[in-house]
Amino acid sequence: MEPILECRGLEKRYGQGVQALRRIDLALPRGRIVGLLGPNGSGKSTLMKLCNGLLTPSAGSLYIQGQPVGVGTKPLVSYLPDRNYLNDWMRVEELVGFFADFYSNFDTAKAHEMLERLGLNPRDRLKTLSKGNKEKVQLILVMSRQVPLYLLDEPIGGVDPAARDYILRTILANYSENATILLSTHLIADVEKILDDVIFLKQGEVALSASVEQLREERGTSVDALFREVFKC
Amino acid sequence: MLTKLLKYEFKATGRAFLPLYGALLALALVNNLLLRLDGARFMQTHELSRISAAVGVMAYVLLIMAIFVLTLVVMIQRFYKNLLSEEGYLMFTLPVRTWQLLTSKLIVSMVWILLSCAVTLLSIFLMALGHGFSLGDLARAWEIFCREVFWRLDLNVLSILLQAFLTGLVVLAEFILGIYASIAVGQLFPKHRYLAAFGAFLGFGVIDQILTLLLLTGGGLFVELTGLSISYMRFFNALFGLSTLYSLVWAAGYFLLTNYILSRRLNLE
Repeated sequence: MEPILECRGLEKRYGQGVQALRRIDLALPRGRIVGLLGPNGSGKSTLMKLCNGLLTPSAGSLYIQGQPVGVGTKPLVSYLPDRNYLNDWMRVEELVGFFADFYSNFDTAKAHEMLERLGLNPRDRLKTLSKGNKEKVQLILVMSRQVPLYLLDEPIGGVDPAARDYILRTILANYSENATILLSTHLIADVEKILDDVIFLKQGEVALSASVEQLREERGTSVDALFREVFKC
Repeated sequence: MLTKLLKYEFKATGRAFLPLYGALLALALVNNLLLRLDGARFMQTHELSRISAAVGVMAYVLLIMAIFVLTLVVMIQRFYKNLLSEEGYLMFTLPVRTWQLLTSKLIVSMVWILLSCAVTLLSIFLMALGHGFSLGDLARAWEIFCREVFWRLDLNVLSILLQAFLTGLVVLAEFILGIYASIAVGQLFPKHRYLAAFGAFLGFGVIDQILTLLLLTGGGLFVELTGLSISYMRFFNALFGLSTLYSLVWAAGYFLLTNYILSRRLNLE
């Protein structure tokens, strides 16, 4: 089956000298939860931004469901950036309306249900919310879309452990069999149990790409332990 | 999709403009009353009425300045903040084309500039009404102006006004798109975004000036050498027509450049 995300010889340089990604060749199959793991500055966010067309590759190419990244691939990808990117003067319910207006695959009822579960008031303006609650709103909006590819950049970084569990369960409950989730994080122990595959990024290169099962069988270690080994300082 | 973008763009910008427009119109009415009090015979020697009228007029002038500064700031800020900073992560992941984003920003900026002018004019009328001024006076003044200028030169009033308005619109679009293009060029230089944007703006301006000068001189020479003699109406038609065309070419160039950079060379921070 055609991979949902494919990178061929993908490179990204910033200005002179700074090489964020070098010759990345990847193909993500459908229906997997993939952890994109690596220390700070290893190129995780850069890769996700390239997949959304927010950055232009320096070399190589990128395909989502066989199409080069562009306006045609935007309906296929639901992206959670690693920052607050919503208009903070809007009310939560207005943001829900905004997403519903632009994305035909957005499920308004599901968004409201998740808001209620996490105790968020749809009438609140985004700017009155705490940092963690803003992140929850963003994640809810992103997960309320039904798409073949979710790109989640640090989805649980800023929220408390209790909400973290709910969010992970939400992610699991909300994606369809055929969808693939690529999520980046440092909090490996928290996400390890839901991952099917892992990709280790080290200084802009793929240091390891394997299924979690394979790792456990062949190396007999957890992802967390392996991460500490590979990225030992 | 363009309609949806326009809807949200108006929502985002209207929050700033509508209250100020309301304040300006209200202040114009208050000033109208204050000036009335000041003008009333029994109050004429009263310092307080004099001072309050002066303060009112001063506040009014400041408010008008604030509205036009805001118009300019919002135009730049909506483009930079909404597209090229964090909010760009949202706007550029929407399933819309870059030209639609650009067009929505351009249309909304133009509408606010025109509305700001209209509201300012309206507020002047509101303030002046009843102070030796009426709409009838305005109509008479307009008639005199037409007689002395338009009819004397044998010009078609309606045609001239329409052409002037159209040229004004195109020049306005050119100005706004020039700013967008400069900001877009600026983001090609990640280390010196602001400086590069400013440099691009100056650069475009200089090229524009030189070209305008050349075209004007060339046009003048052409008329001189050929001994061309045309009516005033034809002269104005040619003037408006050519300057509209000239600005249209610039506007299109800016639009295409911005669209190219934002769709092919985008690098959000």
